[in-house]
Order: sequence, then structure tokens, then C-alpha cells
Amino acid sequence: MTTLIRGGDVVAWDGSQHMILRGGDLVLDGNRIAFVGVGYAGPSDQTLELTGRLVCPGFINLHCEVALSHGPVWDDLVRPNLYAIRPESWLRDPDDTPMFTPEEVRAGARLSMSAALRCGSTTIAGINTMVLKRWDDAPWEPDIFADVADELGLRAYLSHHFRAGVLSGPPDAARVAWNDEAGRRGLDRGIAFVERMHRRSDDRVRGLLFPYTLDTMTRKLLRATKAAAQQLGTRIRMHFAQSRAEIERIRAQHGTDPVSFLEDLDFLGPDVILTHALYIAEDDDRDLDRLARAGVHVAHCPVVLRRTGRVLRSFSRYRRAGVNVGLGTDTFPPDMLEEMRWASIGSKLADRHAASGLAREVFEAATIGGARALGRDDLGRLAVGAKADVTIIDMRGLHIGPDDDPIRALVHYAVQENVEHVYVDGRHVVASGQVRGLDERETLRAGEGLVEKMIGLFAGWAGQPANRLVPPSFPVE
Amino acid sequence: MRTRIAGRWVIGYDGGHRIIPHGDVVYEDGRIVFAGRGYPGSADLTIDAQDCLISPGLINLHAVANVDLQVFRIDVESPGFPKARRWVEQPAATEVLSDREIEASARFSVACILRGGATTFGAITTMAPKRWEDPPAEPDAIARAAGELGGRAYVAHQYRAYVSYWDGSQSGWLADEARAFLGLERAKAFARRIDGAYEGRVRPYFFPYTCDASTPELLRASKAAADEFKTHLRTHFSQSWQEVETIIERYGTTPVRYLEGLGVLGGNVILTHALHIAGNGPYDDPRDDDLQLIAASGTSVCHCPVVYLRRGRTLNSFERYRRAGINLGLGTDTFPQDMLLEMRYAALASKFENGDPTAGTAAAVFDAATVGGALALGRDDLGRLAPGARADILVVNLSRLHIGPATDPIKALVYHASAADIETLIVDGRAVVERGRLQTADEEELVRAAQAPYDRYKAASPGGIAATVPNGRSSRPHCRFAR
Repeated sequence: MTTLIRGGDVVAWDGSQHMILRGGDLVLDGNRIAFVGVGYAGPSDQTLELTGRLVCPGFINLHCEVALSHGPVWDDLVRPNLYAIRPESWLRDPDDTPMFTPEEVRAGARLSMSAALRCGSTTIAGINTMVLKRWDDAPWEPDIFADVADELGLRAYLSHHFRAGVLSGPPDAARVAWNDEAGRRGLDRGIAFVERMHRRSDDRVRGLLFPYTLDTMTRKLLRATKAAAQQLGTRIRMHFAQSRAEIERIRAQHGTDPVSFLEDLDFLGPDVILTHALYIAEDDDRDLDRLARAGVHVAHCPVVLRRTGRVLRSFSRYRRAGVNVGLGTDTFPPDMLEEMRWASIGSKLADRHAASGLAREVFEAATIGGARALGRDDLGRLAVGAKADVTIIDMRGLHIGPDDDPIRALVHYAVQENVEHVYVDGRHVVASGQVRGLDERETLRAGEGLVEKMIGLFAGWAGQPANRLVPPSFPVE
Repeated sequence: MRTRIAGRWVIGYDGGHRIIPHGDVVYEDGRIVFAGRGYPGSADLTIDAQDCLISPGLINLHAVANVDLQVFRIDVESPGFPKARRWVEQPAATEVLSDREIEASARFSVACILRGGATTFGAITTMAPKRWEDPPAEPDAIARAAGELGGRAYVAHQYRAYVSYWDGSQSGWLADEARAFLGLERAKAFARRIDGAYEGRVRPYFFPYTCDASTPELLRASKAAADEFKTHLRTHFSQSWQEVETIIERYGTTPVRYLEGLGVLGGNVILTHALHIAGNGPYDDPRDDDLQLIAASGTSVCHCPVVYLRRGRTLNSFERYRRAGINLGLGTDTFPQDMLLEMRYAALASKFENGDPTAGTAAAVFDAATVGGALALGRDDLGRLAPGARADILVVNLSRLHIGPATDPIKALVYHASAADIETLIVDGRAVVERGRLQTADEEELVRAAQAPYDRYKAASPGGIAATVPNGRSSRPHCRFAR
């Protein structure tokens, strides 16, 4: 079946860069793009007249929380060190009973992934918080995420998260409890999951390997992970240089800095995506040069950083050094428009300069940068032969105002509500702002129950009433 | 007619805001009669808003009432909109916009301000493409737009005693105090003409444009006029290091002490931006008591985060000023005039400046956008849902996928919502926005009519008015356009 999307401003890929076709046509044929240009005269089964819209490549979210995020709970608060308050008795529970049932995980995933689609992401690389896990994900958990992505029609890279060390104690005196066996078991489960995804009939849901954080990995486990990724032909993503405490732990344990540590292991390469990469290259560009030379990708998640007053120093500087930067959300809502806007503003703040974090640069990060990170030359662009992943934004009205540079308007004025249509793999998954086939109210209600359960769990660990741990903004009557 | 709105949450008021789950707001004849749980009386009309937060209407203290020029500087490191000396000196000033374009520009912008969540706004217009004062038609056009489109507005005829110029190699000021006083007279005439118009929704205020483009006498006379009309004085204040230097050079003292010495601080004075004051930014006064001077005088500071964040700068900091006891309000000062976004970015910028997640809380920025703005305007009947207050109300749908579980409705509003989630906006008991659409004008028509003044201002920004543009480039498209 062919669909002609007619009349909007089309962000077309000319082989090396995005360009704007005013009043352009885009033709989707099955799950591929068959035509991008002006004045399509061929046949089509279906035509959408979309004058006044911006027709974009679907956004690629490199670090999308797919379970229910507890991040927003901590807005305005000093988040307690959740690793420090986890009770020993719970950690040592021999049953390793997951904190959430499969049905609860499914409900959280449905909320997070449908919101990602609603906000314009067509491809996500999933993550879920490990603070509620003892060692690794429950063996059934990533398969639930795969089911939900499948059901919603989202393109997803998913993983079974693993680690060989678990942190406990206060941040300044954190201990790492090591368990090589648990680490290896987690990697094996991660490999098995990727293999299961590779056997699927379509290629919309795939696997990647996700060693959780640098400071919870042993040399041996990192080497084994790299070897497995090469054998599977898959990507590796890892949290990297998220905190100064992490840098100090790496130094104490391995006697070197994080970039050198990975370089010495031959770990770095174009198959590696490092999320955050915040506390590197603080004095000079040498770390960035090394990452750029190795072809490593950085997943920048500006919104989750800003919650604690932090910014990357800086988005534009990393790009200038030749590092491929993509964007991720890492929290709720998975809203790539807000990520682009704050990537831009955060870069300007860090550089104290208006000509930093340009709209074009953050748009590239959200599209082509993400595609490069995932090694996909058929995503993040509207070009003949590329996957039919399209996000269409309504640019008509007071929120955008008079007609001018649509990319600047998208980054600086548009909001999630303006995302009108989303196509993934040729399927019309968001139509007129609604995720098709989703009971939005029921999905939200289930999410509210899960957040309350989560706050209750944390309050129990902290030995505090929930409304003391997370006080309301104003007194509640 | 008595109307009851039943919301999932009502933000009530009892000396401070309160969250009332499943509450009612009832209003009649433009005033609130009840805000709480379980209204015992009867109502002629009940609006069911079980997905929504019922909030006091927001107060935008520094709203751009013309098509905005600052957007042409997004992503461009440029000094602003320099004017050639010979253009400033032209005796018969032809304005950049025609009266018809001024009308279209004002109506479009006021519509954006209302859709952005403000029930009350303090209008400003850009002086970048102007010489000594507003074109005579402009303040009246803004007052008319506010009146007809249904907003509550404070409007001024703007004037100044200095105009800066740049001639490629040389920059400087042209000064003409007499012209500024003519402007002030025109501002008074405007104030007499419109005060109390549109059922009392439109009021005047006085606006010597910037502190450094005023003379001491002009500021004193403007303050006296504000007192006489029982309204406020607002000025752009301490926006740049150069401005601070100019004040020190001319008057031998720093900006806050300069105003204090003139008797121009006080409860009816609003300083917009106030970025560079002692203990803050590039200069330090050893006395370092600017924050205390501002706080003790009852002067309000209007913080406009978005316009400066786009330049990589911000107030240091919302939280520090607040803790010093300064009354803070919020303004937009640029397109898209979304007060929810301004609240969010005020909170986030403060966290950034303070390096502290607890700085600039959702509650504090919500206070600034409501009761803070009301106090700045000297209004105890705005910015709160309490019996006797004006029926200025915002209904925001927080039961949305992109907002997620709204366990704390104020945090959900500030951190996750945008103006696009506003369902209803009520001013003085009249629904100005319903189902997210302006009820008092055709939105598409407003945008269409704004294209001509927008294009004209764009052409006039760097390169048009200015002979040359120092170290800057005009705004360039982010992607090559192809045909």
C-alpha cells in the first residue's frame, strides 16, 4: 500500500544533510520511503493533505526509559541515595523476587512507550532503572518490553541489563559488592535475549547489549561483552562518567581514567554508545579526541541532567571535536522536542554563547546522530529506500506564528501536543495526536498506581512516611 | 449567572496556595465566590473538568505585544539591533510598520499571550526599530486588542531620552531629554484615555524604556506619574555589564543605588531582568547589599528566563533573589509567550545557577507567576482563587499521556505541561479560550495578518536599519531551502 503525504514542509535528506522542501511530497510504500520531492505525479492508495505541517524523519531516542520512571518524583528534591537505603535483608533475598509483577511491568511499559510515540519518537533504545533490582533484570522482563513495543508498533532496541557489581552505602563511601557469577549470568541472559530478538520475523524489535554502568563492570566482563557484541553484530550501550564519584571509583579500582580504561581494553569503537559521558574532557579536549577517533557515540540526555542543575560542557563542543552525539530522554516524559530544546539551551548556558547548540545541530542529533549511533543508514532521514519512519508536526497556529525557519520553530516553539501523526515502518501509529489502539485513560490510571507503589517502596526503605520523603508542592486539603 | 467548575484539583488560597483534590471553583459577575471542596450552593452552569487542574490565571509581567524581534537572534551571537546614526537622526520619522500592520501585530501578539496562559499581562513593545517613543497608534492598538480579545492588561506608551547607534566603527548615544518628556506627556494622555476601559480590564502604567536610556529627571517624573495614576512604573534594568558601566560613568554609582537615590524604588516599581546587580555577574560593589535594598523598598523584579537562556545567560539566581525577600514575578519578553514554559525554565535555570535541585521549586515559580505578579501590580484580587478575587481562571488538562502520572499537580504543570494543554482560560468570568481555542477571534486569520509585520521587522533587523552589523550575522535558516 502507498501513502502520499502532500503539501507540508518536508525535511528531506540529500545524502549528506537535511534540507527543507517547501510544499513537498513524501510517498510511503509499505515500510519504505518511495519518493521524497516536489510534485509527485505517480499513483497512491491514500493521500493525506498536510499543508502547514513539518514532515520530519521520526526521532531516535537513544536512551528511553521503557519501564515506569521514578525520576519525576524527585523533581525539586534531593533524591535520597537509593542504593544506600536498600536494606541488606532485601539485597540478600535468596528468592530474588522482582519488585514488580509481569503485569505491572507491562502497564509501566505501555505508558512509557506509548508516550514516546505520542511525543514523536519512532525508534527507541530502551533502558529501565536498576535501583529496584538486585543484580540484573528479571529474565522475563525485556521480553515484555519487546511485546509492548511490538503491540504499539514502535521500533525498539532492547536489552537485558546486567552488572557484576552492586553499589551500596553513602555516595562518598560507597562500596561495590562484586559477584562475577551474577555478572556472567546477566551477560549470558543478555546474549540469549539478543539472539531471541534476531530470530523474530520482522526486524522492528532488536537487541543490544547493556552493561549497566562502567563502575559496576569488571575487566573480564567488559571484554566478554565486547566479544559477544562483535559476534552478534550488535551495539553496546553503557552509562558512562555520570558522576564524579564514579570517576573516583574507576581511578581507585583501575588506577586510570575512564576513557583510558576502556581504550586499554580495546573496548571503544563504532559499536559503542556511551550515555551521558559527562565528567570527561574537563580540562582539555583530549578525551573527546580519543572518543572521536575511536568512532564512539555519545547519548546526551539533557532533561534528566537539568533536574539537578547539570549540563554537558558542551553539546556543541563534543560535536566540534568530532564525536557523534545523539539524544535520549532517560526519564518521563520521553519528549524529544523538549530534549532538543534543552540540548540547545544547555549548550548555550555551558558555552555562555548564543551561537551554541544550534537548532540544526540538535535536530541532527535527534535524527541522523541517533541513526549513526545505531549503525542504521535507513533511519533518521527521509530518503528513498529508508524506513518509513515519519513524525509530522502541526505548525499552523499561534504557537508557531508567522512562517519562517521551520527547524528553529520546531526546536524553540513546538511541544508534544503539536505532534500530529507518527508512522513507524509504514504503519500509522499516531493519528491526530492519538496513539492508535491505546486506552489512554486506563494506561494513565495504571501508571498512577505504579508511581504510588514505587514511592511507598522507597519510603519503606528510607523509614519515612511517603509524604515526608516526597512532600507535595503545596499543602493538600 | 453562577458557574461552578468541578476539577480533579483546585488550587485554592488561604494566605498561600493549597491543593484541593476534587474541588470546586464557583464564580458570579466576574468574581470568585467559592474555592474549596464540596460547594454547598447551586449553580446555573456546572463545568465538569475531572481531568483538569483549576488554577488561578497566570500573570505575565513583561509580555511582548508586537511580533517579536528577539527570535531573529536565536542561535546568533549578535549585539542586538544596531541602528545607524543617520537613521536615528532623520527628522521626519517614518515608522517601520504602518498603522494597519501595528494593529495586526498587536492583535496576533495579545492572542499569543492569552493562549500562553496569562489572564493578566503587562504589555511591552520592542523599541529596536524605533527612535524616541512608540508610534502614537501602537499603545491604543494594544489596549484595543486586549479589550476586544478579552485579556486584562497594563499598557504603556513607551519613551526614552537616549537612543543608541552604531556606525560600523563607532557606537554612541544620541540624547534628547525634551523629546522624552514629550513622550511622557503622551503617555499621560494615553493613560487618561484608556484607564478603566473595557470594564476596568485595561489600565495604564509608565514605562521609561530602560534605566540607561533615561535621565534622573525623567525617572522621577515617571514615578510621579505612576503614583498619580495609582499604577506602577516598569523599566528594563541592569541587562548588561555595559549598562552598569554607563550608569557608573554618568552618575558615579551603581544602578540599584542610583534608583534608590532618586526615590525611584518602591512598591509600585517593577525592574525587568535585574541581571547585573552587586554580588552578581561581572561587578561587585563592596557593600554588596543590592538585594537587600531592592527587598526593603518593596520593589519587584520581573524575571524572563527564556529570552536570556537563548543567549546562554540567566539570572543568578531566582532562588537567591527570593531568599533575599525580593518579590519576583515572571514575564515572557519573547515569542512564544508560554507562561508554563517560563515557569519551567525559571525553575531549571535556578537549579543550574545554584547547582542545587531544591533551588527554584515548582511551588516557588508558580507563586511568582501568580501571587508574585499580583503583588508587583498591587493587586490582591488577582493571582489567587479566593472568594472576592477576580474570576481569572486557568483550566489545564493534566490527564494526558505526555504528562503521565500527575502525583503532584503543581510539578506536573510546571515540568510536563505546556500552554497547549490549557483547555479553558477565563478572564473576569468570561471564557476567552475554550477547548484550547481562542473564542474571541479567528486564530488562523490572526497568524495570516501577522505575516506582513513579521516580515517587515525581519527585514529591518540587522542589515535593514543598521548600516553594518558588528561581529554578527543576521539569522540564517537552519537548513538550506530547496525548491
